Amino acid sequence: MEEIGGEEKMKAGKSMAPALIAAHPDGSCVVVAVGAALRIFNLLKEEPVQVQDDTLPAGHGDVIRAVAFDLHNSLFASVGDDKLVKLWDATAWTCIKTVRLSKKASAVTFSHDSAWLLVADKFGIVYVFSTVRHDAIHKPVLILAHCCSIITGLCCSPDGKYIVTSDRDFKIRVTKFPENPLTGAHDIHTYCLGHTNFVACVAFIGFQGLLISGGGDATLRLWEYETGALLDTFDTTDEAGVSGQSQGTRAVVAVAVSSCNTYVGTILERFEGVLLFACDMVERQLSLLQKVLWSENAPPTSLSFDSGGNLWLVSGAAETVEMGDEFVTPEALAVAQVQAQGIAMAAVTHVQVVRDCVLLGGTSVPGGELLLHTLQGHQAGVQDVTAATEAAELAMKNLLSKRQYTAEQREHRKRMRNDKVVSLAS
Amino acid sequence: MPKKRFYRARAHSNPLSDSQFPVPVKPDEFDWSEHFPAFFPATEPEDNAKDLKVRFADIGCGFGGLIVKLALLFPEKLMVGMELRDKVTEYVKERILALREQYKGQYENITVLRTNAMKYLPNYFEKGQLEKMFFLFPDPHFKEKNHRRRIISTALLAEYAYVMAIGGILYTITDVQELGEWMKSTLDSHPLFEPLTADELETDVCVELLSTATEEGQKVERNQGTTYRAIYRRIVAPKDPAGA
Ligand SMILES: C[S@@+](CC[C@H](N)C(=O)[O-])C[C@H]1O[C@@H](n2cnc3c(N)ncnc32)[C@H](O)[C@@H]1O
Repeated sequence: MEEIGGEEKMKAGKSMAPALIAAHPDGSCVVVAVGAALRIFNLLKEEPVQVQDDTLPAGHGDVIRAVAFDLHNSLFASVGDDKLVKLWDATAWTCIKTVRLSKKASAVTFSHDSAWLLVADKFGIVYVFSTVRHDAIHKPVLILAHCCSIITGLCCSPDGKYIVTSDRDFKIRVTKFPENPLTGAHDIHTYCLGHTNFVACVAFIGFQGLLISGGGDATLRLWEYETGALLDTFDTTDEAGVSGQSQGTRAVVAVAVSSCNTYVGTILERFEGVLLFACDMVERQLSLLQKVLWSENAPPTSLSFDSGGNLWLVSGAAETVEMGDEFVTPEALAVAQVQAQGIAMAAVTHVQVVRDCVLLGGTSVPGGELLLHTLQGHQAGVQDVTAATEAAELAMKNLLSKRQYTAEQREHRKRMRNDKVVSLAS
Repeated sequence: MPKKRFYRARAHSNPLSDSQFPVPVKPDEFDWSEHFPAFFPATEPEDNAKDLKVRFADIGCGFGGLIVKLALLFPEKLMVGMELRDKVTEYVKERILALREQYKGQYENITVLRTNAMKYLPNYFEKGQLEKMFFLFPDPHFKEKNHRRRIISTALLAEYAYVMAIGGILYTITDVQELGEWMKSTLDSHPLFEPLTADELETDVCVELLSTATEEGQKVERNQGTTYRAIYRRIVAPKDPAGA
């Protein structure tokens, strides 16, 4: 983790966390995570779902930063700034177990066989847990680490052979999935190097060893993960200059692949729309299929394909409670928990669906008005959603971008640090 | 020779904080030819007989005593000292240029880079490129909460193993007993490294240099301090016969 000057930390104040969306691979439901809350809609029964959490502490105590479904066993995981890892039964929607990390979490995924849950923290460490309900190990076990970087993306290859991690230092690492994850993943197979800014997201496509990534350099890249070879680079800069804000590049913030690998959906920072790509598996190239744009709604913060080919998009964000990394009393935690749930309850999001490259209008989305009501929260005002989204994107960019300082600023920062130490001591 | 006192620097830099130096996006984007002009002649076509890849790296090279010694012992090997502190790096740069000037045709195979070796090794080296890595008298970071700043750790050994050739040797030495034990046990428990045998240590010409070649080593020697070595070979992962 980088040391951020005290001054800067204060100026940043409370930060915002973007809303997330995930569709169950079996098509049964859609989940929106905003703030500390999970909002779930059952698409088959067409009704909202209430989660049941009898573990301790019940519910998240600060914003959720990452969620994941597994492929086979109907499991779901949520992790966040409260340092809690929650594993859910994604059919009954009960919490299977809660484990506490020592740092805030930044990414989560399941092993391809669903036996393991992997979680990255903000210090670049990846922990592993068994997904078995009552396993003997209650403590997180370190499996690998990126030294002093923030891990932004984490996923396990569909062939079961590798763990892929991306970080703010422009790197994508491909590590061999070990025989026994509890003794660590020590064998780095290769790196995929080519991004010229932070990597924001990674996703696999198909079963022929291909990986897609996006990042702060505004590119979408296609890799052969067995060799680390860069196969194709698509610069989104020209595609995204639509809303008049041509200055500055837009990071590619998230990428999702449809279940039959037909579409690659990509969202960009401050961009009111989604770019849909096709990936030619033979030529191993990316091509832009369609730009789906909207002007009246907020830029999406997260996207997910369901098994029926619907692309779900959410916009929005919620404020963090910010308990910090130091020891906090149980009382303070309880207060934060209530506060976080309150923020989450009030948070509004905007949910949209794209099918076959077309944006479905308003209530014609699957689940209709009731779904929107459940996932969006109270009267989703576009302006509120947009403002929250922009704040969240700015917070992310500040965290991941390299700060450029002049020698003078660096000296000043150093002095400020010392001043702080002195004033604390006196 | 440059005077060391003009290159006084802070005793310690925090390896976890961001610094300002350019880092290549990937190894083949880094131009080594300006570092080794004698090996990369500007006019002649590329001489295929020469190994133009860096094979030895001295991590946290300080004032550069080790690479200066190794330069003459292995005149055909390209080697780099990697150092986090700016002023110290500048000093080593000047030192090498002065040596090249003074002894024509020698010291052409060594260079120094300012970088954070805990973060950027894969940006400079391909998989399996390095035949030797040296960690001489690394900063001890005594406090438990600062152990993650230590340059030998389980997580970092994975990166060192990645840039090292199978059979390559990783050398460590320290005068801090606790750190020596830490480095040894960390290496012992790592599946991609095995210790050299007593015989192998006996015949390896680099072993003796560990305690005598560098500025830090000489300081310890003057004070008749005890040193602790841990020297390991990069091996193929068990159950991975291909080593791929
Ligand atoms: C105690 S000195 C030893 C220097 C030299 N090896 C010797 O034996 O004289 C440790 C050196 O490692 C450098 N160093 C620490 N962390 C580093 C890093 N992450 N990358 C490169 N150099 C580092 C320090 O700046 C310092 O010069």
